[in-house]
Amino acid sequence: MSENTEKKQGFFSKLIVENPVFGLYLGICSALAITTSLNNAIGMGVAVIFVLVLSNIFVSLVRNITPNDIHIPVYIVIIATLVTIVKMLIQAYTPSLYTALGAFIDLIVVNCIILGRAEAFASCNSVGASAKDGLMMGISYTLSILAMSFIRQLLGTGSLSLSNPFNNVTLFDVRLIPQGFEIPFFTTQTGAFLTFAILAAAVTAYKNHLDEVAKKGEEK
Amino acid sequence: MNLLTLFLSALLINNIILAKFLGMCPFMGVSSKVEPAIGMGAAVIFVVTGASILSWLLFYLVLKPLGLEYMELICFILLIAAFVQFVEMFVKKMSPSLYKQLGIYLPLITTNCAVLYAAQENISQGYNFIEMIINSVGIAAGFMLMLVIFATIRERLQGNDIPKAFRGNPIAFIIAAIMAIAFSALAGLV
Amino acid sequence: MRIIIAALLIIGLFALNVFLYRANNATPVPEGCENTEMPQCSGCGIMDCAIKKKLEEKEREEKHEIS
Repeated sequence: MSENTEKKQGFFSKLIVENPVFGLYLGICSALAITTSLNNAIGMGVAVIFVLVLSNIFVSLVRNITPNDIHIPVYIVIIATLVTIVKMLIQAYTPSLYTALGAFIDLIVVNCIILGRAEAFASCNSVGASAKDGLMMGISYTLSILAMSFIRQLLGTGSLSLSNPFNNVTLFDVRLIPQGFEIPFFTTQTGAFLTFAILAAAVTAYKNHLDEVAKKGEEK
Repeated sequence: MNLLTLFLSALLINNIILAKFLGMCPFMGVSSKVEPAIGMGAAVIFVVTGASILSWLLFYLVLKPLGLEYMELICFILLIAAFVQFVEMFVKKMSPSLYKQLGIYLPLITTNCAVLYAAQENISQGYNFIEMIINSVGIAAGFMLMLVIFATIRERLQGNDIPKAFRGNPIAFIIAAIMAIAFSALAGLV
Repeated sequence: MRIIIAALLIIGLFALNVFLYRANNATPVPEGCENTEMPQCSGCGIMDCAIKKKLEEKEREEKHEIS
């Protein structure tokens, strides 16, 4: 029982501390720009998971045959091809998401998370481990931008809404803050920076707390 | 479109860091002191302008006549990577003093969102050659301006008593938030 | 036909990249600039991740030396 709770706590704290957006500060460009609504966040998250998992797999597959000094152009070609495929799929099947995300689908190519994981993990680990790592990182990223969109949409427009991007059917639209009491500030750029700063500070505080607990454990 | 309006729009109003959130990564990493910030900014101006010109030429001379517009992303990012390597090699050989100033930042710019964004914006807005150059220089100058202002503020804050949870990057975002409010006042300029 | 041209374009750009990366690695850094590193790269960019590894190794070495 205690082992399970320890494992759960380890997983939970790992999710927060090694969070690519708030813990490692990777991929901030898209995290700030598209988190105005839950729809965009989920759409971007799914696209990133797709690209991340597949790029990790392909990079891991070719890791033994790429010469070390030119590994970067190889990774760029792999990732750019995957992003072009994702972009075409989004444009074809979910056009509303395509207009909402705009240029940021293309910018997944230079998203530091994907290149960083390819370089740091997939280039020296097996295919299975790389795929799993890609999935974990992608889910962690999606959860972080969901958290940010949740705050921004709730406080900025007063309601939470989600719609099916394939056929634009609204799944739910809940107004939690009465009309006129919402703070439109949170949908602007400044609100994005502020929300990000607060969430990043919360994660840093948690990291500091963990460090203190570890230090006390060592002293004992 | 009026060229001055285009330049001001790219520089201040649709500023790439404060309005479009692109190029944030080096913004956090290189902005603790003013001198590296100036070096990084100069490198970005050089790379963005050169890469925009090359990618514009590639698009209108090769991709569009052949009907290969879908290849835009792959071709642009490969072109940017090649160009950055070429510039670094050129600077290493021609001017060691220039390499000291900005050569070390050049590899960072390959994956800077700003370069790819500038190259693609020129295409998606359909600018002609002169407009493309003005837009690219405006975007990069906006990046450098914000980076230098940011570095100055951060330098001043270095001795201060910042709450423990905010030290490092979170306070940087608070500073960026305040800068965003300040510069959003210019939205009515154009 | 167009697919062949597209493939040739990608291969051509890739070959250009490989050539330039190799040439760049071959040109030596001018004297006096060998040990300048990024101060505080928060994981941005590929080259940054390469430098980040070196910085992390240095931090680990320093921790080992202290303890």
